Amino acid sequence: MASFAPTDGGFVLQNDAGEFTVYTALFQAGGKVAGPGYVARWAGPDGQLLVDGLEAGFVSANDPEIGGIGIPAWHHFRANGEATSGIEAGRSTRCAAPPAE
Amino acid sequence: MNASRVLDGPRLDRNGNVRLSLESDFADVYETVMSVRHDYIVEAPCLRVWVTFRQRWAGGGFPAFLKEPKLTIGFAAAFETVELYDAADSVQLSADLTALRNPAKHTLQLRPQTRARVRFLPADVHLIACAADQHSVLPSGAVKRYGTRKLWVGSGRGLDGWAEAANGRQIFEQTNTKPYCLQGPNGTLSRNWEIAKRDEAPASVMLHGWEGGYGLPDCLACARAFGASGESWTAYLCVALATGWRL
Repeated sequence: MASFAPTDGGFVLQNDAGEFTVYTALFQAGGKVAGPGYVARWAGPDGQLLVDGLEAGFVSANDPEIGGIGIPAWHHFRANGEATSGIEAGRSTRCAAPPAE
Repeated sequence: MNASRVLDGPRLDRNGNVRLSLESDFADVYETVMSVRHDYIVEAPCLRVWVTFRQRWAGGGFPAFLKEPKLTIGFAAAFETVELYDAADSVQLSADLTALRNPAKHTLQLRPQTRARVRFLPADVHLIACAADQHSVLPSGAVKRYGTRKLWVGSGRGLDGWAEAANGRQIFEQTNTKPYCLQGPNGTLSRNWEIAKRDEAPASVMLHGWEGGYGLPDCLACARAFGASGESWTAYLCVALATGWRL
């Protein structure tokens, strides 16, 4: 059976596989942060923490330290007319869900 | 991320499943460039979610490019073994994860093009990932009809379709582009999945729309121009324990 309940900053979605937490906005607690939209926490029916997306700071979506299910990410660039000599500050921005940069 | 909103739910549908839809906007230093929508159906045995990237760069300012769009799933649990299955439930690959301890030195590439499901042991976690057609959405924001699911690679749908479109788009620059950057047929973009892990845990799976090397400055020829504002691409995920998964 599936159900849901409100939690601080979002909702807990429940089913036979456990409890899934989805935040509706950037969520910060205890110096940690998680992004909205994706599943930021998954605890199995036996209480085992399978996903823990509350991070101590910015974690790249390329880093296994990141936690979540369905975290959208990409590398982002703007061509500002400089010589093609690689990435420079101000010309590129990494985009990932948790948290805002 | 500069804004987010709940589009629908959470609510119980007539089948007793939970529906929830949310959308987040992402901006660079100039403007909003992407919105990403998560549409959940939580059934008793599994959680299903359609994730839609909608490009929003409308051509203003410096030209915008992107590389390596993907969905990442990051696990806290300690996994020892991974099995990869196709849509017909045949094993395509099995690998020991215990030796995978430093993502800077070694990750595991999941290359079979028929791939559909990843199983992690001993927790018996299942992850299904597919390309998907776009939803039909009601004016209220609720999904009227969910996108049909197809294989991640070769369907021309979802992020696979995005990669095919990107193959023909303007290249950001050729810097740092070695042969491994473009592993598709005739030097095109490729879209393997990849598992990274540190020590006993955590571990992550990166479901690439297309790959882009080792990090931001690598493989810059994989950075391609944004599509038209409003162009969108959808992926489907299902997570479950044991036998609860479904395509």
